[in-house]
Amino acid sequence: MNNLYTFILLACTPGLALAQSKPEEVTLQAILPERHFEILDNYCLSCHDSVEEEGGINLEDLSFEISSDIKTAETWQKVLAVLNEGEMPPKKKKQLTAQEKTDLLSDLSVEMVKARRILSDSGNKIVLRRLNRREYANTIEDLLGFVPDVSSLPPDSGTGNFDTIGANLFFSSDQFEQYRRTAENALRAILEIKQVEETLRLRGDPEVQFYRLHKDNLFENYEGKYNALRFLASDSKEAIVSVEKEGRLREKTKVVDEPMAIKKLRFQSTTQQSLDYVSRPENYTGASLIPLRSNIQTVDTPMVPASAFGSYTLRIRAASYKDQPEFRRYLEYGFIPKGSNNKEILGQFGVEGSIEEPSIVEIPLEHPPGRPGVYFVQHRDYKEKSARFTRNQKLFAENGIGVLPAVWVDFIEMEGQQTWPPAAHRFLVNTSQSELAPAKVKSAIFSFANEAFRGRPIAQEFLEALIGRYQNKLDEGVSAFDALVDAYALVLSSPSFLYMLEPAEEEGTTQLTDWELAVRLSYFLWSRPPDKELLALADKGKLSNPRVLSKQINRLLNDERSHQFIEAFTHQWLDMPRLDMFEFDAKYHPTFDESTRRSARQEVYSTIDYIIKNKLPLQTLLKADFAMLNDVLGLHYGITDRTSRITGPEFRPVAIPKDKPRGGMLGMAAVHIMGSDGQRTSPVERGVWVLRHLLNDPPPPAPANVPMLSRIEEISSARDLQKLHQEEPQCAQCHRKIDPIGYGLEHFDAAGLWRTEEVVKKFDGRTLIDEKVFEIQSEGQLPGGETFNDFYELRDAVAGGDKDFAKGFTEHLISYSLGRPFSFSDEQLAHEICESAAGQNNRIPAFIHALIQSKAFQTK
Amino acid sequence: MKTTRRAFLKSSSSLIALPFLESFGFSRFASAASNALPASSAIAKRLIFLGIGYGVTKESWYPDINDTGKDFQLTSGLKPLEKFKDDITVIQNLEHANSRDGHSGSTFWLTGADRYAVPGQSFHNSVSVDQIAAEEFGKHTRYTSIQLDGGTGYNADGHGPGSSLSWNRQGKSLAALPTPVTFYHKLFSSEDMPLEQRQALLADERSALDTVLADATSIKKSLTKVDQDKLDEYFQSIREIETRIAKEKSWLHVPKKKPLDPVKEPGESLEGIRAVEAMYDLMLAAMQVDASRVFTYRMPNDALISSLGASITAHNMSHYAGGERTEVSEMRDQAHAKLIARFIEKLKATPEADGSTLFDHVALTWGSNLSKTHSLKNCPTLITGGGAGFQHGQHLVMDDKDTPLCNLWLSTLNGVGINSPSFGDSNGKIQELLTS
Repeated sequence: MNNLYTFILLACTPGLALAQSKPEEVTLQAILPERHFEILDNYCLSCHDSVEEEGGINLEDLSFEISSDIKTAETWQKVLAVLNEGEMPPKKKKQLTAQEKTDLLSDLSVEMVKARRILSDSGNKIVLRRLNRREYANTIEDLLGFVPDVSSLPPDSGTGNFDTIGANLFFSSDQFEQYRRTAENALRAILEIKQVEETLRLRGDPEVQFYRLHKDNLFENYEGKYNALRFLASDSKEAIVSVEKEGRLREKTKVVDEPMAIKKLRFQSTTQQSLDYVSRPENYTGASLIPLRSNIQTVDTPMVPASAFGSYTLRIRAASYKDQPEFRRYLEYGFIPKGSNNKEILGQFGVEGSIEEPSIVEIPLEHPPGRPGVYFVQHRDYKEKSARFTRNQKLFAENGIGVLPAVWVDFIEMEGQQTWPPAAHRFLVNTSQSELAPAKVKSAIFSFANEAFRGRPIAQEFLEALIGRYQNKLDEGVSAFDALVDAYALVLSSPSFLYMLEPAEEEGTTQLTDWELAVRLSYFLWSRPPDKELLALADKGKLSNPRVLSKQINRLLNDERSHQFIEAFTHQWLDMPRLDMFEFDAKYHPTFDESTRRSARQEVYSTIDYIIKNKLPLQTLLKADFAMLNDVLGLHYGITDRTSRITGPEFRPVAIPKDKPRGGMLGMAAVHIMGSDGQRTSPVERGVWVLRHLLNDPPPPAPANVPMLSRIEEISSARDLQKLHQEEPQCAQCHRKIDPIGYGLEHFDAAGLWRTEEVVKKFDGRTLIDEKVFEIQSEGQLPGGETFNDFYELRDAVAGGDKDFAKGFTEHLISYSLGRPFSFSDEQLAHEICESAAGQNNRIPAFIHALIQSKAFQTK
Repeated sequence: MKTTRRAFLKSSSSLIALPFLESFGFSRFASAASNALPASSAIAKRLIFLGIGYGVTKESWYPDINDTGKDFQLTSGLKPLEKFKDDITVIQNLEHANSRDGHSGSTFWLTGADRYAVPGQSFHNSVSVDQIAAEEFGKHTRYTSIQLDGGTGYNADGHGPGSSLSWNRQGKSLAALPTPVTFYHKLFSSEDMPLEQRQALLADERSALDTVLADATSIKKSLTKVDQDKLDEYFQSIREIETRIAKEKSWLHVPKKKPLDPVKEPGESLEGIRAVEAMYDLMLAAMQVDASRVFTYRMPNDALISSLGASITAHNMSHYAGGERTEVSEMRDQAHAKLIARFIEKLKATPEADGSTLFDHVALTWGSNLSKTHSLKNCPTLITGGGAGFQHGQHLVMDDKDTPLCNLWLSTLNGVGINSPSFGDSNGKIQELLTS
C-alpha cells in the first residue's frame, strides 16, 4: 500500500522534484464529464430521480465518479448496458439524439474501463504465486529429467490475464489429489525404469498395410465396380458380378450395360485412387499417401516400449512426386500415445527426394519414460474432413481420379539407446540392505526436498511427518521403494513445492533475499527453477549485486531456455489464442492448413527471439526489412531468399524487397489470421488488435448484447459491411476509431495472403450460387486523425507511434513478471523502464534489465 | 447439534483438521448414512442441470414470442420433443444481469455472479444453485453431488473458465467426471476389496493429508496476511478432501447398489451423441440406486457436432452466417432435443415405490448463459420434470425482458423444498410456473 500512497501524493503535488521523469498525467479517478448532467436531466431523471427511483435506479444521487466504489460502478455499468441495448429511454419516451448518445457512450465506456482498473488495483501487492501448469511441468523436468504428463492438471489460463497472475492461480477442491497423482506417475515412470542394454530400433514399413487397405477398398467395398472393370478390360460383353445367395457371395456372369458400368465406375473417386495406388510399382516397397475416403492415414513405428527414455533419432526415408504442387510435398510427424486417438503433431518437413532417389530425414527426439505409443508421419492436409472431400470432388472432375499422392514413404524408424542411468536415480536409496537405516532415508528425503524446493530447506515438522509416514508404511508391509515414492510424491504436492514462497513480516517493504531473487528471475525468464549457477551466486549473497545480476540476466536471455518466456509471454501478450479459434475453410483458402498455422505462430516467436538475441530495437516488430521464415511460410508468402527457394523447417532471417508487404507484425499471417473468422477478414478484429497491442490505446470491450450486424442477405465487401456500424450511435462511438485501421489491412485475406481484390462467394451447401468481386480500398485513418492511403502508409504511421508501443509492451512485461494485473500504481515504474530503455536504443533486453533492477521486482 | 455448515465455513480460516472431523463431520455423516438406509416415506427430489455452452440457433430454436401459453407451436429445433410437449416448458427473457463474458456459456450460468464483484480481483464467482441443494440432499446419499464434464474444445467448448457447472461456497470450481466410463466406475465399481482394506486406504489418504499439512502449517506462520489468505485455498482443498473421506468412511459398510435393470459398462472411447446418451443413462441409474440426487453436466459441443457427421467446430458454428454453419447449428439443436426426449421417455418408464415415476420427482433444466454468438440476453431455457411442482406444457415469455435467471433458480430451489429466501440476484419467483 505504501507505494500507491506515495504515488498519489506525488502525482497531486505540482512542481515536485519528479519533473524530468514525470509520467504522463494520471488521474486515479474515473469521472464522467459533467457536461453529461444535462442528458441525464433531459432523458432519465423523470423516472430515475430520488423520488421515483424506478426499477430501484436513482441517477440523481449517483456519483459521477464512477470509480468511487463497486456499487457506483455497477450502477453505471447498467446505464451503459441499457443505452447500448437501446432499452432506455423506453420507446415511447423522448430519445437522445445520435450525437448525444455517441458522446455519452464514448465517455462512459472509456471511464468504465478505467474505473474497473482502479477498483481491481491490488495496490502493488504481489500475491503468493502457485506454479502454473507450464512452470510445474518445467520444474519437474529439471528435477526428474523429462517432461511429465500434466494433462490432468488445470490449464491455468482463460481468465483473460497472464497465467502468472497470483490472484488467479486458484487451488480447487481436488487439485491436491491431481498433483499427487501426477507426481506419483512421473516418479514411478522414471524410478521404476529398468535398464535395457540393446539399442532400440523400431522400424515401420507401410507397404503391406497400405496395399491391403487399397486392395480391400477395391475388392470388398467396391466389388461390383472392380468386376465391372475386369469386364471393361475384356472383350466379352458379360461381366462377372457377385451376388449374394443364401448368405454367401457367389460369382455369376451377367450382361452389363457398358456406359452404365463406366458411369458407376467413375462415380467413386476412391476406387480410382486405389487403382492408381496399386498400379504404382513403388508401392511394393513403400506407400504413397493420399486421404482415403477423407481419412488421413499415418505411417507408424512399432510400439515404443515404456522403457524407452532419453535421446533418439526418428528417421524417415521418403520421396515426393514433383508433378504435385509444392505445397503438398511435405510430411508431418508426431506421436500417438498408447490407447489414445489423439495425434500430437510435433512438426513438418519438406520431402526433397524423388521416387528414383528417395531422401532420408533424421529428427532428434527426447522421449520421456513410461510413455508407450507410436511415432508417425502423415501427409500434410486440411483439418476439416469436408474440405478434403470438396477438394477431392473438384480434382476428380478434372482428372477422373481425385487427389493424387504427393509424398511416398519407404519407412519410419526410431533408433537410439536408453539414457542410463537416468539422472533422477540419484534419488534412489540402495534398497538391497534388508533394513533401511532411518537416517539414510531421512537424508534422501531431505536432499530430494532441498532440490524440489529450489534450495530452500524442508521444515523440520514436515520432514518428521514424512519419516513417520514412511515408517508406518514399512510396518504395514509396504515395500521400501513404494514408501519412498509415496514420500517424494507428497513433497511434490506440498505448498513448499507448489508455491513460490517469499516469507515476510510486512507487505511490499522487504528486500528479497538473494535466493528469492534467483527464483523470481529464473521463473520470469525461463519459467523454470534457478540452475546451479544462479543458486551458487545466491548462496554467496552476490546475486543482488547489480553488476552480477546484469550479467546473469544476459546469460538467461541468451540461453535456449528463454524460449519459454518468449513463447508464453508473446502468446498471451498478443492474444494469440485467437490464432486457434477458427477452422479455415479450404473452399476459400486452399493453401491454409495446420502446417501453415503452426508456422505462422512460430514466425511471431522466432522474430522476437531474433530481435532479443541480436540486440535490435523493440520497434523492429513494427517495421523491418527482414522476416523470419521457414519453407512453409516462404511458400505461403511467395518469398524466396534472394533467388533460391527457402528450404527446411527452421526459421531464418530473409531480406524482404521493398515492394513486398512482409517484415514487421502487420505483415505477419498470424496477425491476419487472428483478425478473421476462417472465411473472411474482419477489419474490426484487426483494428482492435492494432489499437490494443501496437498503439496501446485499447478500446472498451465490446458490449455483450449488441446484436451482430446481419451479413447474411446481401453480398458486400468486408469494408462495406462495416459501414453499418456508422448507423447506430452505440456502434459508431467505438467503431469510428476501430474500423478505419482495419481497412489498411484489407489487402491481406483471412489466411494472410496478399490480394488485389476481394472475391465474395455465396454457397448453398457446397454449391456456389453467387460470386462478386470488389476492388480493395485500403485508405483509412488512425484515431489521432492521421490518414493513410494504403497498407505501407499505415505501417509507417503505426511505426511512428513507437513510444506507445513500448509503453504497452512494458505494461504487459510488468504484469507477466510480477504476477499481477498492470494497474495505475505501476505507472511510475512503467515510465522509468521506458525511459531507461529509450536511452539504450529500445533494445528488448534493456526493458527487461530495467524491470529486474527495479525496486518493485526486488521487494516482497 | 448446533453447528451449521455456515458456521463451519466461517471458521474455515482457522484450521484444526482432526477435531473438526471428529466433532462435526464424521458423526454427522455416520448418522446420515444410517438414516439413508430405510427408504424415507416421501420420495426424494432430484435436480439435474444440463449446460450446453455456446447457445442455440436463434431463428429456429426459440418459439415465436407472440405464440405463448399452452398451444404454442414447437419450432424445428424443438420438434423432436413433440411427444412430450405437455411435459416441457420453454422460458424466454431470462438473463444474468451480471454476466458480461460473451464466450462463457457455463461459468456463471448456475451462479449469476459478477466476476468483478471483489475489489482487487479480476475474477470472482459464487456458489452455484445445485450446490445449495446438494448441501441438503447430499446428506442422504453416498455422493453429495455429481458433476460431469464433456467440454474439451476451444475455450472448453464455449463453457468458459471452470471445470464443471458447479461452484462451491468459496466460489471455486468443483471437479467433474470426464467420461461415461469414469462415471460408471464411480457408481458401480466392484468392491472385491475387503472392508478392512478399504478402511485402511481411507486412513492412508487421511494420513497423507496430515503429512502435507505439516508443511503448510509450518510455512504459513512466516507469510504476510495477503499470502496467508492465498495459502488458505490449499488448506481449503485439503479440508474438502477430508470431508469427502469422512463421508466415504461412513458409507463403507453400505454396499453399492445396482439398478434392477443394470446398465452396461460404457466403452472407453464414447464420444458425442453416444457419450451424452451414456451420461443420461448413468444419471438415471444413479437416481435409481439413490447414489446422488444432484447432477450437473457440461455437455460436449465439438464432439457432438462431429458425431453428427459435420466437421466444423462449435465456435465457428456459433458465428453462423447462413449456409453450412447454420445447417449444422440447427442439426445440433435437434440432436439435443432428441436426446432430451429420450431421457424423458426413460425417466417416465422408471417407476417409484408409490406408483409414480422418476420423472415426477426430477427437476431438470437444459440451457446456457449464452443465447447465440456472444449474446447473454434471453438465455435459452428448457425445463422439464415434476420435481419442483412446476406447471409444464407452456411457452413462457417473461414480461420483463431482463427477468433474472436467478428467479428460476430460486423457484426451482423452493420447488424441491429448499427454503432459501433468495438466490443470486433473484427478485422473486416465476409465478407462471407455480399456477396453471
